[in-house]
Amino acid sequence: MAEHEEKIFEHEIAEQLKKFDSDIKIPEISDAQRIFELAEKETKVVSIKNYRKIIGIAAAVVLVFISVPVLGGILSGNIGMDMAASEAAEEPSNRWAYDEPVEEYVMDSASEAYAEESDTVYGGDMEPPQEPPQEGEPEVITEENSYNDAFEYAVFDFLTRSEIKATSGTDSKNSGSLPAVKDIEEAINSKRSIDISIESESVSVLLYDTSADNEVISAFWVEGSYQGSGTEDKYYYIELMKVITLEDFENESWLPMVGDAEKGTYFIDKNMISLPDEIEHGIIFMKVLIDISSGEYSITASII
Amino acid sequence: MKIENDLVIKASKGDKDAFSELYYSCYKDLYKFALYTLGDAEDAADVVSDTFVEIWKGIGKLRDFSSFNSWAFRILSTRCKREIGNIIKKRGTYNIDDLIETPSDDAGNLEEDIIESANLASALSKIDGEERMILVLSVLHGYTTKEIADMIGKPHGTVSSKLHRTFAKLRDMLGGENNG
Repeated sequence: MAEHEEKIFEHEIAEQLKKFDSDIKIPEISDAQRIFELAEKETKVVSIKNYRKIIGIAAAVVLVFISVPVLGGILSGNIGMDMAASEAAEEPSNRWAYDEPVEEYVMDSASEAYAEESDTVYGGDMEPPQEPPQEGEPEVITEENSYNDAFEYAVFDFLTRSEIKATSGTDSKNSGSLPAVKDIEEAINSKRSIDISIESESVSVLLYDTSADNEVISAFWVEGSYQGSGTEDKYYYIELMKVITLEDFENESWLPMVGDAEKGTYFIDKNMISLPDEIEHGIIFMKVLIDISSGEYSITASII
Repeated sequence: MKIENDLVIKASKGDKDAFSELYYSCYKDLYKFALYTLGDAEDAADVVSDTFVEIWKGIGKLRDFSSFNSWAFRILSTRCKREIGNIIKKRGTYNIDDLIETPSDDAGNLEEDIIESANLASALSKIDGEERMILVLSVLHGYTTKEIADMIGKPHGTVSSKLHRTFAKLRDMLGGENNG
């Protein structure tokens, strides 16, 4: 289509859309007073959450203080726990516990900076930082290092019974992997958080950009029952399985489905499934790899 | 939507009457935007309500009063995106065709107009929420792609190409009606 025709078409669409728009029925607008009441109510809820968070952070700090010397003792090969704990307490190479204040790992400076920025832009929707300001230079977390290095260790901050939030830093000496999550919201680093919701026959995934007011950067669901999840480098992975019958397989009605906010509903690409010479059990194992920085995901599967 | 700066300034100082006036003047446009994006009247009303709460809480910190419109749309678009995520989470689908009512109270309305609206609604339901957002902000509110990019937090090039692609999709779907 020539450029001129395109312009004409766009103009026609614009006119249609304007007409269409003028026909939209607007519901009765609720009283503005309701907005003030809701705002007041939210402020109260945030205050309660802040209180819980402070308690949670304090508990996490105590947990770290208790567990680090014990773990240090175990790792250094001392069998006697009392000895190990006291020796680890004096161990200068244990940076996690002693070189820097523990609080830095519980609420990193990037999160605080974001909370302040968000407060400025959006007027206080974010909860204010819970920790008092740290002395010295704040830790600077760039996009790159937060995506690539942030999984090297994680400290869990237990907030409520149903919510776990993990904050991450860049101490390469304390590497470890994040545990699987079930029906909980888990912050996977200072820039991203992932929400996995598990149903009996599907798992839905929402990846948020916490540096952009929790913008959803990826939203999809995959058919299958949840088996586990975790991190691999800059990826978050989720494992699922689906049982099929031989009849399903023969009818080619066995491919698991995916629902995506942008792509719509589709079947897993058959080419991404490795097939044995003979199907014995009729179980499909799927692995969803989500690129945490871009939100893109891929699904591979095998059938046994 | 045309908003007087004075009203924004007064509201930013905590004047509830001024804010109420802002609320009633902006509601319609924000509601329609949310409805186009989410395709559900109830969800749209909830999201707009949450957006006004956020506006009320944040307006005191707004420095550039003339940017009130784009600031409000930006908050709303972020909330709409979250809501799209929730729709996916609930395994729900949205279909603007079912939810936008286009009553033809005007007896003079031609059948052709009704069909045209129905076709447009159907086409809109087949493009994704973000594409609808960009289309509505561009066509109905007259924002440039650069301004939209700032509002929805996407690169300018992405917004331009999405708008172009959206028109191309609509052309494919509505081409018969418009060119035939």
